[in-house]
Amino acid sequence: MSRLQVSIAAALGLALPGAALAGAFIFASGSNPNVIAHPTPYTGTGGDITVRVCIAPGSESINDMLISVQNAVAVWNQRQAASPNVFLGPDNDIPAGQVDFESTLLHEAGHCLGLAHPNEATESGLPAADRDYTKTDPGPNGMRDLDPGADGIRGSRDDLRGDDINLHWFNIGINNPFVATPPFDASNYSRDLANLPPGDSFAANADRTVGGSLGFANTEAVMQQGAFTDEDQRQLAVDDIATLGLGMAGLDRTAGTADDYRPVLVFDGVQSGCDITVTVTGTSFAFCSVGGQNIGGNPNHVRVINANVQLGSANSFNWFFNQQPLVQEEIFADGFES
Amino acid sequence: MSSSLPSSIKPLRSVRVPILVAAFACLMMGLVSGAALGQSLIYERQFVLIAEADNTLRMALDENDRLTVERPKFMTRPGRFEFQLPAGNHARMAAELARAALDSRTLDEDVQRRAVNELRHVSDDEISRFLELDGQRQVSTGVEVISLEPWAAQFPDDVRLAALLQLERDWYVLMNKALSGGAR
Repeated sequence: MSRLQVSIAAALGLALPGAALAGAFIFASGSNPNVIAHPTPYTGTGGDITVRVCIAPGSESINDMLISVQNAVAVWNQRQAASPNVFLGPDNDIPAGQVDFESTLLHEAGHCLGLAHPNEATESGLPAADRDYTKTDPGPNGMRDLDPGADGIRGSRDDLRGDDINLHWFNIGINNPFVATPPFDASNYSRDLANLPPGDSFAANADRTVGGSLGFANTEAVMQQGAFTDEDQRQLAVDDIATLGLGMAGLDRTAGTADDYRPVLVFDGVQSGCDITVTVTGTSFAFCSVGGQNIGGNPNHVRVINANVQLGSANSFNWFFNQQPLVQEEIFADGFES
Repeated sequence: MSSSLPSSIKPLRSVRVPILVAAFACLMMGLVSGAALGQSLIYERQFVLIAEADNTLRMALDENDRLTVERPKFMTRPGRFEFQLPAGNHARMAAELARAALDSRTLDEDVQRRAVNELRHVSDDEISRFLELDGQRQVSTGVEVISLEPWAAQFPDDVRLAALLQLERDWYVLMNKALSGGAR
């Protein structure tokens, strides 16, 4: 997929952000690549953890977004992978020129649960065309090494990345982010490139072009950065679920042990003080801002705190607000079900 | 002011593709082509989460107080607009830019360092650019800020972010007033 953008930033040679906070999990970086970020309520004790999601009382478009917020809550609770999960143009209900609010919210909510972009994305400082490479931090040579390999596809398994520090967790011996390999824990997933299957040179990420090359057309991780107008991506892909699942394996990174947790998102209406607060306001398009707190002093585990999703005002952005709720039985623990 | 790039504005990474100032001038030609060859002020907001070529809001204000606005298709009221503003807006905004101008790289490094130290994260960067072009349409003053709105909220005690956020808001005031006035 071509995402080449004419960039005045590049023309000026101005500074794009550093990658200190980049990773398949937010807060992971080259200096601490093994960090796993967890939803706010997780403190190391296993079991169900309730993640309260609210709309800020001062938000705009509250009524317009109610369905989408509840749908996003339900989708992250269901953790069911869909392929395809990208629907463009006539294959969706979004009018041309509009951006799907629900798809954008689903992506930002993932950040607020601790997930980062699986691709290099804008935080890498790379030109647009190179942001589909798999998430890394520069290695000892101080720069990212970028070669798409023989297939010419950025982010695929034959990329040649030199000494780049891989931040993307892949399934051991398989390296296919579109195939689930449960249990989602360190016995099946790794960052260590020594665990790649024979012949692979780097971790593949769940970019849609990579997916197409592996037989999963129109499929992409929701957490992949890069949205398009008239695009519906309201369902998760395998990679989203696997990455969240790694966190759910707890501090020991082993599924089936006492510290495993299950995040249960609950839509708690319009109020402040929730674990994730959604606000529509302002001139930014969309972001999630969070703080972090080490769990029990463990530098490899951080829980998200003060998570806020902000999407821009409908006065500025041509949002499409989906008004179709997921079927009733698919929505649970949201306080709005009848 | 120098007619070349401010020396304080450097790429952070060696992988960044160096592009000549001439390329930038070409990019800006469309937006300021109708302007007199005097100084122009430019404001840009690149919404990089949108992975399309047309992902940037652009405004230009020339010495004659003519405002040109280009809004990408995913914004409300997309398209190109031109407005004649009351005299004095260019001078006021130029003065405000001069007061807020700073070293983009230093600001970014400070913000990133503080984010690491305080465990803060903002996803999906947006890029705000404030520029002044000289008569040859080269950058005489340039400031670029990453995710200005969320970082200013995260670090409200940073007066640099506050000043730039105010400058950004003033650009929006100009645009919104002009758009609501209906002139085109």
